[in-house]
This record gives sequence, structure tokens and C-alpha cells, in this order.
Amino acid sequence: MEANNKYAILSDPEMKEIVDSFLVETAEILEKLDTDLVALESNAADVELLNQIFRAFHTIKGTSGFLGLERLTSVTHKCEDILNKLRKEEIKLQPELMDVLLEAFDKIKELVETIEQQKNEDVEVEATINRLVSTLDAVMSGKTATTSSKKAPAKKPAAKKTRSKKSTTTAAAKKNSGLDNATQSTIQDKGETEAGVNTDEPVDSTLPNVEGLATEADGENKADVDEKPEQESQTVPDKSKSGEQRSEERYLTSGKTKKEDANIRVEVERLDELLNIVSELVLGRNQLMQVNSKISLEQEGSEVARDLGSATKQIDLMTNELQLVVMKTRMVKIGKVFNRFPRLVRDLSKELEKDVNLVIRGEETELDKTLIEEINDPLVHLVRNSIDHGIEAEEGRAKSGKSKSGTLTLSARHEGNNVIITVEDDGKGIDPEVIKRKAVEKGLITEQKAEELPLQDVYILIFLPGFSTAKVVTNVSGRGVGMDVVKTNVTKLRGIINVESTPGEGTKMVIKLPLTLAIISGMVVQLKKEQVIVPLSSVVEVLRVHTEDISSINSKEVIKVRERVIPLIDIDKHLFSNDSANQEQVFQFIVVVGIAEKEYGIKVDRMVGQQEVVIKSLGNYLKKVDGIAGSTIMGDGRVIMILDIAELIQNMKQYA
Amino acid sequence: MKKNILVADDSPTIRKFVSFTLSARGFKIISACDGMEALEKLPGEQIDLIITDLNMPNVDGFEFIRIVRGNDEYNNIPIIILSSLGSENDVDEGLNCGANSYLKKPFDPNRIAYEVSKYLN
Repeated sequence: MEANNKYAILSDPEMKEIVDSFLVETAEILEKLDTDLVALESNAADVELLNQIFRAFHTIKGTSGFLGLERLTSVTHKCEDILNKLRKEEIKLQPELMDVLLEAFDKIKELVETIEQQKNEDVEVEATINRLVSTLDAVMSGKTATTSSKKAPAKKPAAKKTRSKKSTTTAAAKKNSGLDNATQSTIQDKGETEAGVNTDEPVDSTLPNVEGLATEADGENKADVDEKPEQESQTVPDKSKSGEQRSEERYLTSGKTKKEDANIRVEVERLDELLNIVSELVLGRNQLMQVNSKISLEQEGSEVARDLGSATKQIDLMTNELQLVVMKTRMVKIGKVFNRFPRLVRDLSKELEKDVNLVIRGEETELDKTLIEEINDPLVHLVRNSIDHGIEAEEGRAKSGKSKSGTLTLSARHEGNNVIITVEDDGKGIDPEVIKRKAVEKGLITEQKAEELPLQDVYILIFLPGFSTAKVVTNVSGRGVGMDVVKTNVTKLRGIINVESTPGEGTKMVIKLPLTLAIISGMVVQLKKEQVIVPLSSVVEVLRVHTEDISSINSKEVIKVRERVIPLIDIDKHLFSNDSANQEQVFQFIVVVGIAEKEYGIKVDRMVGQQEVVIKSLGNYLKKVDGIAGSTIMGDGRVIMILDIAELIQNMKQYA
Repeated sequence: MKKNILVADDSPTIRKFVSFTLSARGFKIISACDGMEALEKLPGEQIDLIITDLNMPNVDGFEFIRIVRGNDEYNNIPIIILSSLGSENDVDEGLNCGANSYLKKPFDPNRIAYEVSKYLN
């Protein structure tokens, strides 16, 4: 391989399939490794877990070797060495080993990202490799971190500096959950051993052909392994019978793992296509049902009407089922996202010197793949906020009579057609007075308005751009961007976010998301001349109010519901330029919708019904119409617009 | 007729790589994700050669080779170990179990083609 096109293989079209396969496989392994490593910290003696982790590093080492990824190979190789010694019980898992393994894990992740995006390995790995080797050496020779601390102080400040710089960029810009954790204790070993390492093992940079170098070195180790073949070979010689029997036994006992193999990988595009076809089928079904109800009225009791009726019922049932099944194929367990959090919480609590217990519930809850991808960032922000601002440090907790370690609960569950995700902590809660004062200070609201603000609306202030309550901006949170990002993402997913907090007891953030974005339940409402659909996931409640109860503030219409003021929107006027003010009506229907943290009321003339609808884009020639998410075809062939509530309100604010 | 090669490896990337390398040279590849699946696939088509990894879940390479060698029907199939375990002990143990040769990962496509051609011609 020539030096200049060392990574040519990564861009070679012939190799694309293999490179892609490598990236997918590695991403999966890393995802699992993330949780496994954190789990290992508390179950250091779990042999099965050790084996799994060993195999993970081992596989990455093997596959990256093929593709000539020298740096990735050498980092994973060193990790594998450590794991190999751990599983053979030659060394014990010590905190500094754990830290260096996690550091290496982050490095590997960074490498894989670079490989995927830049098709090369431009990531500095030398330091990590040295640390892996030196830590292992230190542990092997029985030295703990304290014995080698003589020279450490010289090294430590420098290392710390890079570390804090790193985590600054992480919190500010990096969207991924993995906080950098070049942790303190590992660095201590480095000072002494580093010099030795560089001369002892110059091979590091000339990988990948140093397979097994470190494992061979150690005599004790060898003796250990030598015994194994003898033991095992005794059980072998008696030919086929015993062999077959043994394999049969294995077949029986490993039923569980077999099930995992029963998966196939399907491109998302194909699933999209399938969903598209099913959406069309749903439209056809709606049409059929319309015809059916017409026929059954016109030719009541006739044979045709009866047959059509039963056929329609059958098709309706099957379509519903099919739709459900297709949607299920796109569903991913939220555990995929939740699993990243143990590591985040571990790192954050270490950094902030707080004792935090993470409880995860409902990781089996499934939601659409597109939603899964988008929900990660908001959750990371919420979790960061909880640990940074919510949960108190030990003394603080002791003062208020709480247990020493704080609890952070991350949970998900289904509720009708929605998924409810909550992030809850038992920290100090949000003090409404502090929030108000801060908002006034920042000029976000006036003092007078702050006085009048009902409690629920106070919490909403934290979502305003530029709001930050932390007195000192920490690395972790408190830049005032976090909550704004949360709001934006949740809005994009047509979700609703709710804050509940009891000062002194804790805070609970509740995110409500639709199950899927393609087929939605819609509420069909009548405006004067038009019918439109409001996505049911945005609907909070429907009110019928006396027209006299509608008051106006600053010439804008509002209603008061349970001590809250909800602004009203006249969509008819906004979208179709009809002034729907209807003097004859005594009562007015109001559909209250929620957008992220806020609520608005939409004036409608009549409620028509609820229907499953498929969102169709309006097509290029209609370009993008503001306030319209798309359209759908009703059973009778009419095309009806589906409102994009968030966009609608955004626009109205601009023109108001 | 095309010769059939059974490839057992828990990494899909490696299965693809081997398959890519050898199908281009006119072999038919049957792949398995571990020793267990390889054992299941053995009775299917006539297998002319086996390429196996050592470190795999469920049934590992050593055990897989022993079982194959212990079976009268299959004990003549040539077996090539393709593994990155790579310590001398593993090479010895692998060959002791009955494998014919040992290739270390990462491998050169030509090298494995050469190794295969030693047994299949």
C-alpha cells in the first residue's frame, strides 16, 4: 500500500458495499459497547460481559485491519489486550483501567466518524494508545495510580487543560451525547511510564501486523493458556457421536441467541416505499367506505348492499392491520436512545462531582425511526440540565434531608397514539421567582407582566432563546441554548413539552410525541367554506364557549380557561381571507392546540369528525404553502388541507 | 460445476469481504454467522471447503472444527482458519483440532485465493 492513497479503499466504488457494511456493523457494536462498558464498572466480575466486550474490540480490530485502517486497528488492539487479561483474570478491573478504556472507546468512535465522513483516519491516537499501554503496564506490575504519582503533577495540568477545552466545544457544538472524558486518574500513570513506552514499543505506529504482540510477551500468561488445549482435547477424541451430541445440546440451550439471528436488515428506503403504498391503500379504503355508506343508504336491504358491506368491513379491517404492521416495521425501541445515557450520566456526575443514579424505564417502548433520530438531542439537553441545575451536590442534598445520591429517571410509555417521554429528577426544582427575576433582568418580559404570569407560564420562560439561570455558566449546560434547542426539535416533531416542578422536590419534563409522522389521526373541522384537518397529536382539548366569553387584549382575541389566557387564532381569515366573525352564533367552538410548550385556540365553526389521514405533499408546482403541512384525499375524493399548526402560528406572529 | 465454500465468521463485513474475494474467482460462498449456523448449513449443499473464524459466539471455531472432524461424513473437507486471535497457541490449537491451514487477519485477497486453490482445483 502506498502512503498517499492508503485510504483509497474507502472511496473505491467496488468496495463500497464492504465499507458500508463495516460502518454499519461497527456502529452497532459501538452502541452496545457503550452500555456494556458502563455496566462493567459495576459488574467487574461478570465473565460473560467481559467476553462480550472482548469480542466487540476483537471484531472491530479484525475488520478494520482488512480495510487498512491502521489507527483504528491499533487502538482496538490495545483495548483487546486489556480485556483479554481481564477475562483471564490476570488483572483486576481498576478505576484507572475503566477510565482509559472509556477514553479509548471515545477515540474509536471519533475514528469511525472520521472514517465515515472524511474517508481517512485523521485523528490523533498516539496519546490514547500510550495511555492504554502504560495503564495496563502499571496495573500489571502492581502499581496503582498513587505509586506513580511522583512525576504526575508535571503532566497533569497540561492534560487537564486540553480536557476542559474539549468539553467546552462538546457542550456548545457537538450534538452527540458522548462527552469527552479524558479522565484525571489515568493521566497520573502516564508521567512515569510514557517515556519507556515509546522506546519499548515503536511498533505501535507500524501496525496492523503486530497481532498478539502484547499477549505473547508475558510468560505467566502463556503457561496459563497451555493447559487449556489438554483439558479440552480429552473430551474430544471419542469421534462423531459425542461431537454431534454436544452440538445438539448447544442447539437446545441457545434458543435465545438464535432468535436474535432471525433478523434481516432492510434499507429504510424500502420501508418508506412500503409505507407509501399502504398510505395509498388507506386512501382507497376511505373511498370504498364512502361508497359503501352511500350504497347501503340507497339500496338498503339489497343483496349488493349487504355483500359490499361485508367486503368493505373486511378490507377495512385488513387495511388497518396492514397499516399497523407496516408502521411496526419502522418502529425502533427507544432503548436505542436511552442506552446512550448511562455513559452520559456517569461522565457528567463525575465532572460535576455529584452522585447521580440513573433509572431507565420503558426502554421497550417503540416509536418511528425518524422520531428516534430527532429525539436524542433534546433528551441530552434535558438530562444535562437536570444533573447540572436540578440535582444538588451532596451537601445541598444533606441539608434538605434527601438521600445522598440524586435520582434521575428517564422513562417512556405509550399513551394512545402518542409516546410520552419524561425526564424527572429529585433535585431542587425550579423556583418560579428566580425564573421571573431572570427573565426580567434579561429583558425578556416586563416586570409588570412577570407579576401577572400564572405559574404554568412561568416555566415556559425557560424555553425562550437567551434564557439561562445558572449564575456561572458551566461547561455542561447553562448557555441558554439548550432549552431553546429542545423546544425547536420538539416543535419539529409536532410534539408538546410540559414542565412540572415543585421547588425543593424536583422537576419533571414531559415530552409528548406522535407515534409516527406519515399517517396521522386528524380532526376534521369546518371553517366557513372550507374543511381543514388539525393533526390530533397537537390537539389538547376542544371547547365550546359563549361568544361573550371571548375578550380581547391589545385588539387580539383571547379566552380565559381555568385561569389561563389562551390567544385565539382565526385561521379562516389567515389562510382564506374570509372574515369568519359570525354575529348570529352564540357559541363558538375552540380547538385548543399545543405547540411545544405553548397553547393556542383555533376558532372553528363546526366539528366534523376524526379520521386517519395520510399526509401528501402538495407537489412542487404549489411550492411550499406556509401553514399547510400537506393535503389528504377524503373518501369522497375531496382534497383537504392538513394544517401545520406550528408554522401557522409562527407566521401569524410575524404579521401580527 | 462451481465449488462451494462455507464461510463462518461473526462479522458481516468479513463474510462480505471473503465472499467478494472468492466469488470473483468463481467460487460459490455459503456464509454462516457462527459455528452453530455453520453446522446447520453443513448438510445442505455439498461443501468443498470451510473457512472459519475462531472467536465466535455460541459455537466457537475450535469446537466447530472438532465437530466437523469428528463426523465421518465431513471429516475430509479442508478447513482454513481465518482469525485475528493470532497467538502461537491459537495457531497450534486450531491446527490440532484438525484445521488444514491458518491465515491471520487481516489477509491479502490474493493470499486467501492462493490458500484456497491449494485445496480446490
